[in-house]
Amino acid sequence: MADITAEDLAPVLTVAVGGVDLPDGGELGQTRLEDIGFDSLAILELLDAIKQKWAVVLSADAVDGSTRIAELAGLTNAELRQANAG
Amino acid sequence: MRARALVTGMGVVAPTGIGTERHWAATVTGQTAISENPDYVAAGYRSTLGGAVAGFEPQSCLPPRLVTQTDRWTQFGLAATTEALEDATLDLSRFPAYEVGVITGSSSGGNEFGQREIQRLWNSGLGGVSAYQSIAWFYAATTGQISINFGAKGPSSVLVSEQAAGLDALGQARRALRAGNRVVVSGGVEAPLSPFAHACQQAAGLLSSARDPHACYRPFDAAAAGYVPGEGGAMFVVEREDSWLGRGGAQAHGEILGYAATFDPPTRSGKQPGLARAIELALADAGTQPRQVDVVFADAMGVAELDAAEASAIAKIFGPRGVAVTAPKSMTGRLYAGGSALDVATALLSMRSGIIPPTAGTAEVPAAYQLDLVMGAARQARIDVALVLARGYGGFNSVLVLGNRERKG
Repeated sequence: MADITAEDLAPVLTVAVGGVDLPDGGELGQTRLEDIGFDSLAILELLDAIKQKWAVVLSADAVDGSTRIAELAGLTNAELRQANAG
Repeated sequence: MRARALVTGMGVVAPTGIGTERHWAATVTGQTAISENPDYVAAGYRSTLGGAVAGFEPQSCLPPRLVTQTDRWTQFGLAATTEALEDATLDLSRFPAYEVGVITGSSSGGNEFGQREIQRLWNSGLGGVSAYQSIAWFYAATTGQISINFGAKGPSSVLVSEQAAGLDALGQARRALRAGNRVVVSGGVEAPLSPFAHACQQAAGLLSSARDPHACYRPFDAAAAGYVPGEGGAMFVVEREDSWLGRGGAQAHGEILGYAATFDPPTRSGKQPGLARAIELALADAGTQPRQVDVVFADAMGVAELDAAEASAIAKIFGPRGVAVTAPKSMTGRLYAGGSALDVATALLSMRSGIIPPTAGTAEVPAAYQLDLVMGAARQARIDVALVLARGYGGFNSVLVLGNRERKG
């Protein structure tokens, strides 16, 4: 399975808050969650949406408003590799 | 000298219309907005009628983020507040944020959102429950979202006293102005028509089981047999007079002259209910005599025993047929915290136009009530002072005295 990218996360981000304006192209990965309006509750919703889509559980301690979307993709991929390895 | 509290803006979301003018246009005609709810019929509920806000599309007036995170009740509050601020031509960003408060009334919080999440809990377990449930259901959610979205950081709260809460919120708003705040966004809205909320209301035994929308909720009628629930309400900009004058003093719908609240004694105590006392206290607070009141917007439960008690209180204060009484909520249903707030909006609109809207559905008022109830058609009248009554289930009594800015004397 190919690594999840920031673009793959875009629809999940939208579901979590019901609609969000995302930057295009290369800027997407560097965008911080707080820059697109994600507060603590929205992050919880996002983690649940990631779990629903990829069966991956990310710790709420590992993700906060300063987390960039590319980092979020990285965390998700790490969990996927670990799950596949196990 | 105590600060004067003016109502400089208002917004309405009601079964009679979305927007103040639509609501008023329907109300003066006596046209009912109560209809059958097919879900209630399909579920076999005893009470199948309700006053629903038709055509409300939150996505057309709120950002997607807020639509996802809020209950229909809060969406009503945000929409009505938007209209109220535009009506007041008030840009809150120009005010010191800590001098603008938000005080709302609520009876049941986020019913629809909560029901949905309970269903998800049972169907999908803990993981299926939205994180937004934590902020969408509780009684202060509408206050909070208004505060956040309009940048109001002043004293903010919620009053929870069922139908009386809308008046209690406005009374508290006036206190906040007298304590030094310049503006308070206040009022009440409610969205109690979800199946779970309706089931709770049925359990109280006060809902009408009639099937005719034109004769299901008959306040003060000899055949009164319950009320019909409804959704919606009204929000207001309540502003200190000096603040309003400071920004040009253009429009003011009216003034909050007086407010009072009492609580009923236990049922078997032998003591009188507290509504008459609340009226006396509110009039005293307003420095107004009963003869100066031009119209009373009644609580109008539509339950014979409670109608009789209210009629008795009105007759005690104003004398037999001593004041015009009306209950336009007969066209919308009882909106709980939104209902008393909507009555305030309708009373202010009555002042503006010199028209008392009719009570719909009522055909025959018992002579023993000694009530001059406006029925059948609207009545023209100069209105300088209006009284709004509200009783909340469980014993709340609240009264608000409103004054026309153009009133004589």
